[in-house]
Amino acid sequence: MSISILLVDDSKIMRKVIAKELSSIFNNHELNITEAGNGNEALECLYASEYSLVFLDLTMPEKTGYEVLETLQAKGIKANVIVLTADIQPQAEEVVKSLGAIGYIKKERPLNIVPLTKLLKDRGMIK
Amino acid sequence: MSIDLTEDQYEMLKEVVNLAMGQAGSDLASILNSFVDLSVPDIQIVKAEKLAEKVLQESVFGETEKVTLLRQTFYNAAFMEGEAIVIFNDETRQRFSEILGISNQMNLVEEMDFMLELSNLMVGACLNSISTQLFNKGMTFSPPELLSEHKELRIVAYETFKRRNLKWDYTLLSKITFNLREKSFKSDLLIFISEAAIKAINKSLDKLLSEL
Repeated sequence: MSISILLVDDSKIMRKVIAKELSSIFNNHELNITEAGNGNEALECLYASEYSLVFLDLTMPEKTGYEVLETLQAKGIKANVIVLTADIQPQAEEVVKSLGAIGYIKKERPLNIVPLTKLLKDRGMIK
Repeated sequence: MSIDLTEDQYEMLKEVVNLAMGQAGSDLASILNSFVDLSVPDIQIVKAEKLAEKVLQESVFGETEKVTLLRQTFYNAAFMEGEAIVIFNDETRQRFSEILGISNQMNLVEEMDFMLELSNLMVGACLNSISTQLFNKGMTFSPPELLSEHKELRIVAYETFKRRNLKWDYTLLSKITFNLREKSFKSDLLIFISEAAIKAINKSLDKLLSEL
């Protein structure tokens, strides 16, 4: 089964780290990964294609992750967005979920894949 | 000694500072009971001659805005050292009571105490996170001190960052801006890492890159 993923992060390194972790989490699936380096690029991708999953950073140049979620909500575009962010303030999770994100995961060093794996299991995307 | 960062080192450092900024933003949001809009951290190596100009260019504040600057020095056992400067504008200072939901206006002593507390919190959260991520060591700080108040940013920048006041030729400058959503609170955190520490940071960044 092929899974299409959009990785949105202004850090090339984070995109590389997330892609590596996803390859190990979805080890029985073919992954089709598209990368975007800011919110505007992400919206261009989301207008043009549908993705099984979108990983979205919040603090980015040009358009933030919050603005991407607001735009998707305003335009009625449905996407399975998982926010992966260093913005760990108490209200952040509530705000992104109110804007339609299906998950909120804190960036850590090294990246902790346990919450992501649990989220994907809970949503039936992996066993 | 190389004072440059490769593209990969720069990307890694940006992510390290990003995580640190997230921690500081979270602490600030908790103490102010507000939502903090975080900006992308700006990181660059700056020549001493260009520092005042660069601070004016990068600051969230306008050149003629009246500001207060607080300063703290820091160091760790891995020879990472430098100083941090937190900038508040007068408009934000006047709104501290409102931001905290206090009915009485703060007096000048309370206002200063509050700024020192905020400065300590932002600098501490940020630098401890950077130090832990890069060196797995905590950071030691001097107490925050007042550097200047109620002066135009342009004046204070040229006074503070005069070439002859600086003991180094280059610094690694990280600038982080904290904005409170729906409240008039703006603050810049400027982190100046010493020229001597850049080599140690380069090495740590390479180690983190090799672990990817």
